[in-house]
Amino acid sequence: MGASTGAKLSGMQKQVLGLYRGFLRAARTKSPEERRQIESIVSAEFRRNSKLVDRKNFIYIEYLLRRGKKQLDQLSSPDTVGLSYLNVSNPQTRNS
Amino acid sequence: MASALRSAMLRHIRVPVTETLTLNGSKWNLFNNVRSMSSHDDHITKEEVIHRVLDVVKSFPKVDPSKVGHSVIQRCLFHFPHPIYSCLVAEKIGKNVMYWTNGGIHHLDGNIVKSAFSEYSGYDPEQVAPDVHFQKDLGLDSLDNVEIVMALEEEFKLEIPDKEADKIDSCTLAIEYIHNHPMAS
Repeated sequence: MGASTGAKLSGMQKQVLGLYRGFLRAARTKSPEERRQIESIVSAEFRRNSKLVDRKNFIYIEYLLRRGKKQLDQLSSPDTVGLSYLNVSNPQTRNS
Repeated sequence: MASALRSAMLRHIRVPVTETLTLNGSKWNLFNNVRSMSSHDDHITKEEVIHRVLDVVKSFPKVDPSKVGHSVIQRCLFHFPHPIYSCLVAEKIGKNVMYWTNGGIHHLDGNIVKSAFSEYSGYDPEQVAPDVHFQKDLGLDSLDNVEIVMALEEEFKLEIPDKEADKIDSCTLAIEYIHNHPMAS
């Protein structure tokens, strides 16, 4: 494949995009309604963090990645039918 | 008169296919290659891939459909050798083109450009638009990029591994990848 014109992605950026892809893949396996719900929550969460988190804050990003992977594992389980968002004083995502 | 002009123009216009189509460094000369290893020519053609990739991209909610198009033609025109060579304010294909030579400013009828283009590139100009970069031309971010590639996966019933998917950042690369994918349908 030819050289891409875009900026090269760092390893961490690739991990984040890979995680995002993983969530979208997991969402496909759910019912259409849940899928839309999951996609909008996940997309909002990623975008929120992409603005909120300083790109040099590697430790925190790593933490988010780990947390995301765990959440993805849970979501990928066939027993999990959907995802809902709980807004307490501190915003948190929870699988239901 | 017009046809004489047309043939005169065509004699001067050379669109070097391989060079012109080496956009973004990707291998556009695939058009003319015989893909001897390929077994899927029967059920999905390049044109169909282009058409469907562009449809997916245009229907992406954040994309302005009118932006998906025409930049191939514009760049193509910049590759016209002498006498049109150094010129060129190209608008859309089919529109008239203004160009400068030693002799002054000239106007080139858009239809001539169009037919020259399709004659030399083998493309239907109306369909051409693949040279669109998701993030640069369409103002998307890398997350949108992921979403588009996922949408393409679904459209063509593929699974694109992360390593490849990260590289696909333009319609050109998407078309190239999908067209060469044996499972695309």
